[in-house]
Amino acid sequence: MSEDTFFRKWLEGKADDEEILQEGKSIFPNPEEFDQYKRIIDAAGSFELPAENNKEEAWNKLESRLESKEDTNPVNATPKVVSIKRYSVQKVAAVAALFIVTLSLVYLLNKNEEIVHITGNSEQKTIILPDNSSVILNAGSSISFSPSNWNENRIVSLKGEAFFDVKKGTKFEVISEVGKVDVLGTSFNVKARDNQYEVACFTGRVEVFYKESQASKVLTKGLATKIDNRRLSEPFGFVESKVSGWQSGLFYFEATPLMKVFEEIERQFDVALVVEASLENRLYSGHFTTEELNKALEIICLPMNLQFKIEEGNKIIIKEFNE
Amino acid sequence: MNLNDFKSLFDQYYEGIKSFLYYKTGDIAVAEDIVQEVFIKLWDKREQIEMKTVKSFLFTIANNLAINHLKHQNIVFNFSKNESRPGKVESPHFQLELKEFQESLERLLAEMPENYRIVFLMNRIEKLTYSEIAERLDLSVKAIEKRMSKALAYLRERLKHPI
Repeated sequence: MSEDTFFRKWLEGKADDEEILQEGKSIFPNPEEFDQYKRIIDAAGSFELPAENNKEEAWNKLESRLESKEDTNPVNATPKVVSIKRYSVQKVAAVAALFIVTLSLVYLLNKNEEIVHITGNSEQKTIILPDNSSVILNAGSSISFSPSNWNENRIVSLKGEAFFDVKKGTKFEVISEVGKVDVLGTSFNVKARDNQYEVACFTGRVEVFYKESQASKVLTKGLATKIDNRRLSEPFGFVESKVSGWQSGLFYFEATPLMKVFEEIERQFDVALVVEASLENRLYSGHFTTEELNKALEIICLPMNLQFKIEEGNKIIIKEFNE
Repeated sequence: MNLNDFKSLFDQYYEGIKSFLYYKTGDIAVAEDIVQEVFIKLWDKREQIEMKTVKSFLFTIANNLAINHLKHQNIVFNFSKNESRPGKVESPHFQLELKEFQESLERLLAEMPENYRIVFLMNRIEKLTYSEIAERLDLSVKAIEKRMSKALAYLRERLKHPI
């Protein structure tokens, strides 16, 4: 049993103390090492979140916020035509006051509101930001940003993959789980999925930060960087059409783990893949287009000695190729 | 989705999302604010969300909103620390040692890289299985195994020579 698997068994509480002790002896021949881990695991297991706002209070707070949202922004509002007849000055003043209060309420509620865009499978979306910068979002991705104060504070969070075309202005930041990109006026592609982080600069100048190593790399037109061995690689040249191809349904891969390629297939065709072969560290170099699912699966499976079978709906089984 | 359905989603995921946000920001008040925003987003998008993707939608939004909040703040955790082995009577010396150990552990968790920290805390505090963590964070189980082992190695390396 590997260390990883042993820890899993231990931490999921699926074995009793005696069993863990026995197996621990063979995985960690040095008893001190085992004891150190045990101390950490037990101590952390006794932690709890600090005392808090209880769920009921939180729900009440949420419910009243939702209700006031509905009041100021009724879902099925039909525009009313108000004809001003002979109203007394007092009544008009009262209506005006109410109108102003409502507007302020709407303003306050929306002041720090985040806008979120999400794409599901087989979906791509173009989003125009308040300064006319644009974002093309690939499938299975999401971005969020806050429109208030946009021109001073241009910050977008990204999970997944997107192509950015940024208008010149104040610093524009794209923040993801493992890294961050700073630009002034430029166009670039960011792929941030799991631990993968790749940025390719198409025009202008881009500074890429990798949170884990606290390092940064500067990219200019035609250069890209990605995470290689827990740090940002030296900028390397890339082929534009291959990196931005996804916008036209073309997906290129160079020495990419097979699982990642299959994940992209799932996103682009909105299917579920069941892989019954051991992919290990097999790497794929090639491409597929979103024209036709069968073709895409063939072009990947054949050279990798795999076969596929499409079952009801959109479930696909991948197996080793044998007679 | 009507308000009742929405409330049951709230009941189901509120604690998990709030805990996740606490592991990420180290600030319980911020976590409580952001979790409200997350559910408001869910309400706004209620017509477009499918039930089977709700969980990852919620965690993705929470993650995005928290990222915006972070901006190089120093994290300081303040977990409520219980006895390691409830019911067993220990000497005062042991209890003091345990308390100091727990405090060192807490400090190290705040410094630990976020990737390892979140996975470690989701298992130790909420007792989630690796599969459950993988689902919430949209990662593979193998990735969780690696992060967990790395978290343990990180802590052991720094705790093995107590000051």
